[in-house]
Amino acid sequence: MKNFLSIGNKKFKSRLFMGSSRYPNHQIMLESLEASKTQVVTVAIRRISLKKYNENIIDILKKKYFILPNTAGCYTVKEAVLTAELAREALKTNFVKLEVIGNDEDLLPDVENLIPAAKELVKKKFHVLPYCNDDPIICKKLEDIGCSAVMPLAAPIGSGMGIQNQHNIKLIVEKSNVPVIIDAGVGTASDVSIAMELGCDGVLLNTAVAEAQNPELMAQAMAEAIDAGRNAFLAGRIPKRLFAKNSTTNKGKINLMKRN
Amino acid sequence: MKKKLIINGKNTLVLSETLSKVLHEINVRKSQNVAIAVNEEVVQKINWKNYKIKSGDIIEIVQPLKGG
Repeated sequence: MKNFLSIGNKKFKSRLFMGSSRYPNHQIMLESLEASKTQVVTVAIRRISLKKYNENIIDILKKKYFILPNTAGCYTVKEAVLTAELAREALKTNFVKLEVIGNDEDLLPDVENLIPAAKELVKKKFHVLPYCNDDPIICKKLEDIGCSAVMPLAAPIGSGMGIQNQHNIKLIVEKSNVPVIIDAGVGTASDVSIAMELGCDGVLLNTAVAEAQNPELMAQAMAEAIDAGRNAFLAGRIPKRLFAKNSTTNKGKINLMKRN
Repeated sequence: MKKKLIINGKNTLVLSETLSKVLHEINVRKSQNVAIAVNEEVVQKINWKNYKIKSGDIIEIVQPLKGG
């Protein structure tokens, strides 16, 4: 039984990865991260403003969390690879959540570009965690080229629709020899539990907590959902049956005689 | 003579010779989390001091920010 989530040379006790975007303010973000019990927080790499003060959230986050940079918003192999290299330089980490998307409307992964980008980054000694489709074949290919984990989406980023294809996620989990982390599309705690019950190794989420009416409480719910789902998976669920099966035996039940 | 650079997508005129001095000239504080690419190649921080800038260089100066 594995109590830790191992990715590359890192071990994490918490299986919940959290984004750092879209919180109402700094304080709520920090309190929500705390409540989520996460150990991994994602950040983006963006141009600094040459005009105004650039806030520096990283120094605060770095003290407590493992920082996972992403390549959010990249459309091409070149953009994604350079962003990852800049992230490595800025954060002194060779971990990267690789995103190569097709357009900014549905933010879905562009696997035709994702695969060569992943290949190049693996060659450059990165631990690549690719955001990908819930496609068992693509996930296997990403594993085969040396990705340290695969991160299939539950649903489009920020949609909050939960796992759209549980069967595919189950297939990915069954076939994968690297950690499977559900990334994107989580709406609420039950989505997280379902992911973990299916055997996923972790969940990465952001909007579901950051835009909840009470982000801190939702973060706590997500942490509990991770544990509940993980324990249920390890415990082994009963098979689904078409017909009922009584839980109380009929033996010894009173049986009233007919009077007439 | 001023050099014409493109810094973070904007035409910028600078007098400085090295990357390090350009940063100073355009008031970029050397936060330890800043990373720089010149002409699509990362320039490591230890090399900023000696990296010679020339007219036409395309410079990207980035830092980690909130993201999901």
